[in-house]
Order: sequence, then structure tokens, then C-alpha cells
Amino acid sequence: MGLLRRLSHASEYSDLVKHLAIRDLKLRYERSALGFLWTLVNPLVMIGIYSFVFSMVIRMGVDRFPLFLVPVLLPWNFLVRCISVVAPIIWQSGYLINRASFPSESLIFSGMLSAFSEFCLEMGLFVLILVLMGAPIFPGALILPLVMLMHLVFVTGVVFFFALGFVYYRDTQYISPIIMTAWFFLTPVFYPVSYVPEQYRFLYQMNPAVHIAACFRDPLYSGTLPPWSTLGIAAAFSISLFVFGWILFTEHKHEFAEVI
Amino acid sequence: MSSLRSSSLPHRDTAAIVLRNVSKDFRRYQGRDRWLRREMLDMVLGKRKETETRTVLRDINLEIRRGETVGILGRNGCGKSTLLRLMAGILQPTSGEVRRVGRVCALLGIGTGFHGELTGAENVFINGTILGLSEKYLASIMPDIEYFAELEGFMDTPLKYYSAGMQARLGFAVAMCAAPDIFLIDEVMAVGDEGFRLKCLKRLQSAIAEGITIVMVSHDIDALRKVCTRGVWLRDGSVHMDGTIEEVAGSYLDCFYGAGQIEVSAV
Repeated sequence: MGLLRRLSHASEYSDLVKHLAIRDLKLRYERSALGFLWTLVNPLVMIGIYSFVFSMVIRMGVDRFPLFLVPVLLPWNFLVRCISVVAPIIWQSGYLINRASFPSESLIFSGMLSAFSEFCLEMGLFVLILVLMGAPIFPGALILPLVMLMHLVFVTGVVFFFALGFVYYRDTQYISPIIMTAWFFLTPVFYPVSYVPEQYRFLYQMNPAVHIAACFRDPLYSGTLPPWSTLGIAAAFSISLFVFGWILFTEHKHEFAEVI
Repeated sequence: MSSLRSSSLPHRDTAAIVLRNVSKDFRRYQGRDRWLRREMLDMVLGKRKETETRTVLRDINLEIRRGETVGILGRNGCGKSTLLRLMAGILQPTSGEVRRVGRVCALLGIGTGFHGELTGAENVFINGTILGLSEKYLASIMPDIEYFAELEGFMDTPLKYYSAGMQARLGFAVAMCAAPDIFLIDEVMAVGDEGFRLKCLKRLQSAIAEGITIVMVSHDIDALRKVCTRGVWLRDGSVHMDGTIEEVAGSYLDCFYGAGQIEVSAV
């Protein structure tokens, strides 16, 4: 399948990916004086609201709810941002794709890069707060960079599928919010997996995000390493989604100039 | 009247671009865009998907040798731009084969990827990397670009404060300084004032002397005459005439102004 060839071809365009990502970040932050602070306002507001609703209105019975919520909410936000901002990039870049011959996945990779840098910033700040609060996050947190990289691979894979959807079907823009809402509630963002009835558990765990959520929550909430089986399943899901998504994408990318 | 290619053209052995039996169809789905809901409805109703295909290029055979400068002529909608995009690899042929030897730079629009909020230099990096150049190389030719575009002192100004002419000059300068092996140009020569156009022409001519291959689409016959030695006349998606630029341009103009006036409606 020539995955290595694909990779080496993409690396030829690493400068393009880099400059597109820089452009992205610059355009978003240069002109607003508060810059990166705006990225933090959104999660902070969400954390406040979720914490109020799920620990005071609907009492989930989860100890230290914000600490339970945030390790999974941040990765989830990253996924949502990528689906809504990065995935439509190809579809929106018809002008570029029709006029220049460059690998169109570089648009995806650059979008992922700028979104991921924001995600890293959020996670870094959160870990810093945990440390300052004296939360027991070691040694589990040591595995966090690895988990974040795995999450990046996973989300990139998902984005490839959505990007193709946006290119080929006009109604993807209406379907994707529905999918994301369903996916949100079927992922243990604000409730523990143990609340899911036993008889649905197997079906529930078909959702790869369940395992990825565990990889983020175990180290940061309980301070333990996630079980190797969970890590393995999450990694297997991530890598296969990425590889399959990328292959599907590259098989179709020569049609983009015509379809868009 | 095909294959009028005269032996007086310089003969170089290696091919730069070869098109063999190239045809290109464009598919048009019933409406304009594809909707999943419509396709599902059609599936439920048992309607067959009707796609209309339009043949834009039909059985094109062209061999462009290294160092050749080819001007492509033809009326609107005859497939010139599609041909150029096939050569650039932006489009894939429906059938047949396109082969390229060397680094291709396609100038199909000025300043592809330019963004008004970014400075001139930042835009050079975006535009240049889209054209396939490396960051390091771009940094090394930055003074050259700045000088060529006559934008000294403006490179750190956001592009939105540039005039249209300045933006176009910058876009053209990047492409001119990119030094590709094969340069594909689509109707973009009419850039800047007379002085800048002359400078571009000179730059092109010195690149030609160094052995660059150029394929150029334009309605500006004079520009084609100045740059190209060979002409290809496209008509209804196939090669109608192929010869020296003088011959081809002459016959092409004849059919509007001269003896062949009867043909106009058919061209």
C-alpha cells in the first residue's frame, strides 16, 4: 500500500504544512490583543457550566467532578474543533486545489498542527494547575504525551473521513453536528463508564473514544497508568483509523479538483 | 492540418511533457452538487443515477521537448486550461497518459494562497511552498523576489495594504524566481505596468536561454509570439494545428480576420 512512500511524499511538503499552520495561528491570534487567552475562555466557560449542571443540578455522584470532567473534555473539544474547522478545509479550498498541484493532505496536516498546538497548551495549563493544587497525578501523567500523540493520530484519521464527506456530499455540513452530538453523549465525557448498564457495555465499547477517554482520565483523575489493554485497544483503533482514512483520502484526492 | 511541426525547431532529445491519447471527461451530476439525501432517496425510489459527461479533451497526443516554448491557442472553452491543468497534474486524464520530466511550476493564478492579513514575506512563503519550493530556498531568493517585484521596503507590510498591481507583481515574482524546469502559464502575463511586463518578458527569455520549458495559454497573441516558438491550436478539445507559432497564430487570426472568415462560427 506504499504507506512509507506516502509519508515520504508528504514530508517533501513539510515546509508548506508548517507555513500554513503558522498562517492559521497568526490569523487567529495576531489581531486580537488577548491572543491565546481566547482559546482558554471557551473551555473555562464550558467547564464551569458542566460542573454546575452535573454536580449540582443533576447529581452525578462523581467525586471532584471538575477534575473528572476536564481530562476528557479537553480532548473532546479538540476533536470537535478539528471536525468543524479542519475537516471542511479541503472543501473550502477549491480555489487553491484548482490552481496548484500540491498534496492536498498538507491542508489537513497543517490544520491539525495548529489545532493540536492549542490542545497542547490547554492540557499543559491544566496539568500545571493540577500540580499547583497538589493533585496526585504522578506517575500516571508521564504517559500523557504519548496519549496525546495517539489522540492526534486518532483525530486525524477521523478528520480524513469527514474531509471526504465534505468534499463529496453537500449535506455533510448538516449531518456532522448530529453525529458529533450523538458521539458526545455516547462517550464518557461527563459520566463514568460504570454507569452504562452491563448489557450495553460491549456495544458501548465499540466506540473508540471510550478507550481514548480512559487513557486521558486514568492518569489525570486517579493518577494511575491506564491498563495496557485499554492503551492497546485505543492505539489499535487510532492507527487503523488513520491508515485507512489516509489511504481512502489519497485514493480520492486526484478527483478533488473536479468535484469541488 | 495536424502535425505541421517544422524541422526548423531546435531539436533536443529529452521530452519534458508527453501526452499520449489523453482524453478528459468532466462528470456532471444531475444538479450541481451531490447530496447524500438525494442519492438515498434515488436509491429508495430505484432511480438510476444519471450522470452527464462532457468531453473536454479528446485523444490529445503532444510531445513537448525540453527547452521548447509552446503557446496554446484556441477560443474560450476549447480546453486550453484543462490541458494545462492536466500537464500540471492538478487533473488526472480520464484515459491516456501524461508524463512529466522535471520540476513543474504551474502559474494558473497569480498569488495562489495569498492572504491579505499576512505580510508580503509571509505570503511569499505560503505561495512558494504551495508551488513546491522549500523554505530554505525561498529564504535565499527573498531579496531577488523583493527586487524583482519592485517592493523594496514593503515586504513586512500586510498584503491588504498593497495595490492590486503590487500584489500581482509579488505573485509573479515568486513564480519567476522559482526557476522550475517546466513553467506552465495560464493567461497571467497581463500583470503590472508596461515596465514590469517588459521585465517579466526579459526574465522569461533569459530562462528560455537557460533551457526552461514553457507552455503558455493566452489570448494575447503578441505575448505568445514574443515568448513561444511553437504553437498548438486547440479546437473542440483536440489539436487542430501544431506548428511554429507564426504559422499557427497566423492561421488562427486568419480565421477571424482573413480568408477563413466562414469558419468563425465553427471555431
